[in-house]
Amino acid sequence: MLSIRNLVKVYPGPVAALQGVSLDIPSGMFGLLGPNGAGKTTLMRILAGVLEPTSGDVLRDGIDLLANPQELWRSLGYLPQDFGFLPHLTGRQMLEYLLELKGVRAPGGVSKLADDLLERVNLAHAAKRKVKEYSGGMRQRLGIAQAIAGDPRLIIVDEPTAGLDPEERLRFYRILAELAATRTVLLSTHIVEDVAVLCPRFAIIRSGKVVSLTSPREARQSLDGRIFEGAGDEVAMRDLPHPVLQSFLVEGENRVRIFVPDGVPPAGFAAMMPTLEDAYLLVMRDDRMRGAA
Amino acid sequence: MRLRRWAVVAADELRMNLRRPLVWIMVILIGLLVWGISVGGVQIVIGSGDASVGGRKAFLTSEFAISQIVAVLSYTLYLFVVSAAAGLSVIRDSDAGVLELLNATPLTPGEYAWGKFIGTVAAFLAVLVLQLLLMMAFLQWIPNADMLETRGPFVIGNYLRPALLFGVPMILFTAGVAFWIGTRTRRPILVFVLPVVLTMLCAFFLWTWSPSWLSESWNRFLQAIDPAGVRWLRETWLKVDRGAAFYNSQHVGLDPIIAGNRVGMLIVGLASAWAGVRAYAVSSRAAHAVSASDVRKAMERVAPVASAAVAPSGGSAPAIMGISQPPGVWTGAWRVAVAEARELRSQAGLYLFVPLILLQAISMSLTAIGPFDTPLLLVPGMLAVGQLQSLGTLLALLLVFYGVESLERERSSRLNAIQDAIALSNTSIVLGKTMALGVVWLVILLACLLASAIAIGIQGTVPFSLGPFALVWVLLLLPTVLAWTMFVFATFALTRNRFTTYGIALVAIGLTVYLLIKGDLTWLTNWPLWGAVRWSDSSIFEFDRRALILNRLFLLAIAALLARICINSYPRIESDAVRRVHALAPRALWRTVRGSWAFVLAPLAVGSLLWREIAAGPGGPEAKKEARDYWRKNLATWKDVPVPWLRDASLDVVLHPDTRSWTVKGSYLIANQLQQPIEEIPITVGRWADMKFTRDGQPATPDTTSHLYVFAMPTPLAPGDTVRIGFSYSGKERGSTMAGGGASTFIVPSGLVMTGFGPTYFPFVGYIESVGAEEEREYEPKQYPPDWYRGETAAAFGGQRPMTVRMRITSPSDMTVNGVGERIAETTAGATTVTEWQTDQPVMAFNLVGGRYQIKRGNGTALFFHPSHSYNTTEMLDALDNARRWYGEWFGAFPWKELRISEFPALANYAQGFPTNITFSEGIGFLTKSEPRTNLAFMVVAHESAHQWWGNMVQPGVGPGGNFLSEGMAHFSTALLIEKVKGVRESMEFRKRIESSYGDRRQADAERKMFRVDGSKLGDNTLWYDKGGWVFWMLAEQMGRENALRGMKDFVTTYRGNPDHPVLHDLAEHLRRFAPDTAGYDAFVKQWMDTVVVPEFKVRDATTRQAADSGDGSTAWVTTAVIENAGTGRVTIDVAATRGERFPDPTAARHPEPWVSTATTITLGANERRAISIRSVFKPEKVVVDPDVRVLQLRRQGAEARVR
Repeated sequence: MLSIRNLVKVYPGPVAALQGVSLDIPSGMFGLLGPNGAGKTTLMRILAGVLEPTSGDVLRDGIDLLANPQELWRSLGYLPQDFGFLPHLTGRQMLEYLLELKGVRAPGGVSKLADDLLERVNLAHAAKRKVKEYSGGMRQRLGIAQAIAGDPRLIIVDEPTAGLDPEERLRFYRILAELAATRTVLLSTHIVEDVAVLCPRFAIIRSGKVVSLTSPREARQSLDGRIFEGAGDEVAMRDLPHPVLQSFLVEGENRVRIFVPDGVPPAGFAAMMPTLEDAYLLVMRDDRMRGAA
Repeated sequence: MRLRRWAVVAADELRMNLRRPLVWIMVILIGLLVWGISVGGVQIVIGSGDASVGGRKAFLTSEFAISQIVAVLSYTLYLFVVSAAAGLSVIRDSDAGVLELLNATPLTPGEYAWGKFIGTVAAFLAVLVLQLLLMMAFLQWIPNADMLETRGPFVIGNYLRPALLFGVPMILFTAGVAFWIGTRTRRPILVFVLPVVLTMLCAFFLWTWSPSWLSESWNRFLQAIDPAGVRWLRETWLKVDRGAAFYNSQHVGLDPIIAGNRVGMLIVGLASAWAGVRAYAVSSRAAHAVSASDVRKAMERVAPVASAAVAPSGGSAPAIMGISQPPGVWTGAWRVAVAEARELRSQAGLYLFVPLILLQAISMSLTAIGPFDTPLLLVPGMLAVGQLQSLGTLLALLLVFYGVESLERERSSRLNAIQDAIALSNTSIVLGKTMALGVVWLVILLACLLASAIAIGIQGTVPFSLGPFALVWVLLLLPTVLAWTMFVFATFALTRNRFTTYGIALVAIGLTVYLLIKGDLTWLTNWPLWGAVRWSDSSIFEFDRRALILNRLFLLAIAALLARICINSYPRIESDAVRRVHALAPRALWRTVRGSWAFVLAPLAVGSLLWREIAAGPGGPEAKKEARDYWRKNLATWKDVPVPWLRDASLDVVLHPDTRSWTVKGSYLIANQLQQPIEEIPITVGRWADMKFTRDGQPATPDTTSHLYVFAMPTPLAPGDTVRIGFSYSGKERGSTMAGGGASTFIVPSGLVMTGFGPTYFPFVGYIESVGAEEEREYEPKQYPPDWYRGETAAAFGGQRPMTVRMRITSPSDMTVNGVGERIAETTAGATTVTEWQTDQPVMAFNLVGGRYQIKRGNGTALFFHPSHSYNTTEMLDALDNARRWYGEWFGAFPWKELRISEFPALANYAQGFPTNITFSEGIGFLTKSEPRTNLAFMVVAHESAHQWWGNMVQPGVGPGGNFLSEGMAHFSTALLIEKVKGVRESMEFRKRIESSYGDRRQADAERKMFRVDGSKLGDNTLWYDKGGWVFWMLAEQMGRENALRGMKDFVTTYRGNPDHPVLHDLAEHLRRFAPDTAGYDAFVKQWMDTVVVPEFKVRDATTRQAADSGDGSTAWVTTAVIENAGTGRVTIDVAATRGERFPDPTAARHPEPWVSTATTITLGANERRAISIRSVFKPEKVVVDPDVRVLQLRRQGAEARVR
């Protein structure tokens, strides 16, 4: 269990990136969902031990990880949001280098392990190419390979599917799901689908605060019978008495999804199956309104 | 190209550069340096003028002075900063990922790249303008008492012309080349190749290497390739001093060399910038050149299609992911080091640096020159120490660049986002990176080692040996490398900024250079060991050994502290500003310090020990205070009191070289040679213990006034009476010197040089005015009346009258210790030998020199030398034999039984002609590359041997002109002996060499007539030696050689043992009696000794034509030219029309045309010119003034011209 207690991070400015975040993250996959600038990456970097918080604690099994980052790093697999590699090394050399630094050992040796990992992230064919020649997606996969190496107890992945094509995204989902069976995997993303697919539990973070802690199922269930969709021009929609969650075009026609707390929709609106995205947007909207108030 | 877009980029680059800390550090440094120059703390400008009160001073505001300041500063300061700014400007944008965005806008590559370049150049031109304003402010406008005599009128051109001539081309050249390198390669390290190479080339070669025998054409070539123009400025205008009046009023005249050089620099700079723009344009659109076959192969290669439906791995986690076992400190460090080394290997930097270093080291080794501009034999140890300074500088610079880039690498590649969260300790990272930088060190060491081996091999005389290199470059240099690397790392860790780290590191190097130039580096501050250690084959770091060891330990302790700081502050975890503030709270701060107390205490403890060591030494505060007290207490009382005669010295000396100590028991027989009774006898003593005295055998307790013991006579010592003062004491060379660098007298386990000239080892009869005198209390020398030398004149050095000496020396049995006189007994018992020396004829001074020697004996001569230094001993012994024989014939028989030369460790480079017992440093003569052009081994022996006559038998008087009889006559004797033994050519070469030395070292404004030269002025030394030797040579020519030698012999006879010690006046008056043409003699003496003249000849319009009618049917040629004396004085000279080579190289494969010459003689006064016509039976090639090198002159190379 990873326990986060009252984590505060204030950047010079001052900008409060985290405003007292507290979370208990159990073993398995845990999602951290939030819009850009919500403080997700700040939280991820603090949890990865590379950013010092202003105050607060992070404990794992009673050990203060902030005071003992080496203890954390020993069992951490980390895929940051923004990273790079030494451009003159080949993918295989780069991975081997990182495995060596991590002290990763495998029965067949580090070279064999590097090959296996590259195979696993579908980079075997590019193992001998220099990293500087890799596409964005290939670099992301190489990053994933290094993050999962060494059987880490905690894996932190920050926006891991950015830059991956749908096929690779599915591959990555499977890898993460498999890993989450025996460890804590913390996934930070702004893509609701990632959480929907992978996370049994997740938190929504906005403006440095945790505004919701739930599971995709609970989130969806809470909206059962209260999500409706209908067509209409944007001006007319403004006068709707219900919160508009999404406004989008379907074959050139403007459609909106609304949340109706009492389950009685306006005319022309049909009941829809709630999605996680609806729940997320509703939370965001509520929070925004609270903020405005 | 759209001007507006280009201007936006340029303006942005300009703003960015002007906001950089590095640029402002540079501006602050410029300000400090200019201020330092204005208050006299920094001296990089012309040393012309007369330093005496009321003497004419060279203005610091003249165009020449400003040119020097601008040229040197634009090189030393701008070079690195401009390189970094221009070279990294595109790389920085590339690292930031800006280029992709910019390339997708209408901004063309040309607009972008030219904008970057022009913006950078504009920034540094702005800094140059700021520098000029600072110079004007400090040198011209701000009230400053230090500049009362050196501030000339404000002339704006004096600032602008040097800036345009030296500053602007340098900035453009540096920026252009660095921009090209950076843009073309995108490798930061390579950007620094340019400044490093140019620094090495200029500071250690182009600006400093200018031996007198270097040909004019080579010299001009070297001037033409100096990117700073400093060599041209020095060689053309400053080397031969033209006097303050000239520099204060004239402009820096240009010639084709400097014009070509500066235009060439501009062209190279702009062409490089253009090449950089082209390189950027090509790379910005990723226009990769790919062959058709590669395209085909690539098209055929199909990437495997992965299945999205990945099956579960099936295997256990370790099988698919491995097991993480974080590496230990050393394992982690090794892995980091291997990866870093691989990065280094993949970079072109080292492959470029290595050949350059190799080339530079070989050229430096092969062009190494010793005293008297002579090539040196390359001995491994001296080569290793000789290169220590350049190697240390080079390493320091490279470690800054490689170190910063190594730390920056993860950040610029953004690998740090991953690597920072790996369970690898900061210690491992820092250690690993340090180990990888060791590769740089190792590669450079190997390059220098290879260069040294090649240089030694080319020379083919001295065997190569690895030991000295390992000792000096590995053992001594390791702490420097570690401490400096840690300094760079810690600075980066604290500032987290590449450019600020460069700035601080360069400031640290600059500060060290400043301290070195000021002479303020001590063992505590001399981290790169610049000038602190000297190599001796016989005494390996015995002198100042404790200070050297403590200095290295101090550096290691500093390295550990900096490592600790670096590890704690390593830019891995982004710290929180609030926590940082809290960390400064006293309690938190104490916790931090408490955790690091061992790291803080270690350098403090070692530093304290080191300070104790040097404080106890001869340059320490205690010794300084004692010397100052000696001066203050006694000056007024004893300054002009006549010194009694030390008639006999009897000394029993027990030497303990292993502990650098000695004990003495002995006595001086002191006689009253004066006309009046002596009531008190002052004796100056050293810093000894257990001092006891007797007077005529009875215990005595003299008054002690700060190292001056004053014996009050119970009854005044009547004229002719004597008293025997006995003494016993034990001495020890305490502590170490302040800054190392050797010593002229010493006692170390392998050798010793001890003299009675001062009170360091033996009591000195009298008071010594110079001991304890300090610069701020310096005063002008005494003004002497015209006939001051008549009557009895005191001796300039040594005893007032000759003395007898008897010494009983107890020393280790494997050591030979030579004293003055004759060895009369020697007994060895166990580990000690007792040797007794006694003077067979009286001497003026005594000394001891000892070592473990091999001996070669000649005719009444002997050479004692280190067994491995036999290279020149045959030539040296030949010189010694010939000196004894010919000087004896010319100046009077050598009165003592044996004349010896004894080698001593090269803790100083000098030789000293004590009676019978000449001391010779191993760095002079023994390790000279002797060849006909230099003959240093022969020359120095001839010079020092001459002192047996001129210095010992004739002991010069104190006062103006005295030292000419010692040094001038020794040089004259040398020229005679070289001519007699080696030949005319060698003597001519010797005279040319000392003439060149005179030209280079004279101070035009401070030079006084020879009759007035007393050693108090800068430049007096070259007058005593070089001008003195030349004037005596010309005098002998004027009188006739035989007449002159007869006169000199008679002079020696007259003044040997004479209580009246002669000066130049006495010699001139004495020789007059032997001059056949007294009027001519008087005119010569009047011109050369009683006024200051020096001719300078120029040959113009030299043409030749075939004579219309030769008369006898043979072909005749008439050569005409105009000869001008651009200098001073009226002299009669030969002018010759010549053809062929006068002294062809006998070993050359091609035999040149035989030399033919026809000459005429003319007399020319100052600024006079005369047309000459020479008829010859051959077609001349050259017109040469003074072909036989008979008249002293300036710039002899201008006194000949090719005939058209």
